[in-house]
Amino acid sequence: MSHPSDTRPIVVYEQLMRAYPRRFRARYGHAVAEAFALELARVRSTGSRRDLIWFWVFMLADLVASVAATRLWDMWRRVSYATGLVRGSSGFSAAFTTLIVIPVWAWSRFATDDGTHTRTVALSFCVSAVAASVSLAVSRLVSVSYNVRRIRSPRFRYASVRRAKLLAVFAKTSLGTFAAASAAELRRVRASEVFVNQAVSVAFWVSLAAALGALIVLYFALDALLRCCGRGSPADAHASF
Amino acid sequence: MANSSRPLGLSALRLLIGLADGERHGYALMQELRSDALGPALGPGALYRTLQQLLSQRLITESAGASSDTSDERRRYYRLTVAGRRAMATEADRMSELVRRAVKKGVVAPARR
Repeated sequence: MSHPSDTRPIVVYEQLMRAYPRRFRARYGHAVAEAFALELARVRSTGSRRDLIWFWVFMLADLVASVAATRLWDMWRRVSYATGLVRGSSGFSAAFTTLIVIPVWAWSRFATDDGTHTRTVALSFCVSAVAASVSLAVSRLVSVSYNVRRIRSPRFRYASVRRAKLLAVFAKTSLGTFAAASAAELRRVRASEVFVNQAVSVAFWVSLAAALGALIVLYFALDALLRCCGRGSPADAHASF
Repeated sequence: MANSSRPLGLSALRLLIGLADGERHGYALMQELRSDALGPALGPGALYRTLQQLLSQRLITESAGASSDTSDERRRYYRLTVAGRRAMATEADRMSELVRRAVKKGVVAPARR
């Protein structure tokens, strides 16, 4: 394989391998490329053009399938790890509990009312809160996962990244909530009623945002307190990930 | 640790069986899987993804490799762990049971002794 034209397929394959997650590439990239090169040499030795075409079809299908599977697996591992981290986070647990408790309270408040409109409002609260809980959980998992990756960087700035992520959490939560609530309500009531219900939901969300804001301030205060006590930030404990 | 009650995939089982008689490097396993004709051939991507999963489940482990083979220091060798051997045996038992049921229902003829 000393001729340049011989190594071209390997170079192309190595370029395609960039689709693998970086960690997988760093660990197995050489071995995968070596296996490809050895297989290519074997197929070339048969001298059959048809075999060579099938070889490429097989290798490309394998690459696409394994890239997708590796990325999914990598994502699953990150999410599992992040789940373990947030499970121990007091701020997250409190926020999540708030999002579950308030709609339960709203439902119990309106469920006894005979008016159908208030029932719809209560339903709107519940749909909004469930959507928010899911989007908050997902955003938080992504944010923690991102923090874990960033922590390796020497330029990592814990607080600024955390603040940026929290803003993203609020944005995603609001957007996801109103989209989900509107979609759910449009299926059963008139569009004009949806706007009324969402106006109520806005008031609900303003109060909820205030409650969450207080929790976040508390969370930052806890971080600062831990640093002052020499315990480090919660994320520092996972620097070896 | 892998859950022993959870079935291994066919590719994973074939790889474990490939390692049953000693340590091997990835490409040797790939060749063996191609020649055993017990399932689809594995490409390099699928092979190392499966090996990565087996490593994370601690069913196999990486080793330094045979001292006589100095072809490439970066080449990775794999061998079965105790848990891997146990998982392989469990899975083989499960498959034997499956064949036994198939024979009992007349799906396949019993093996001649």
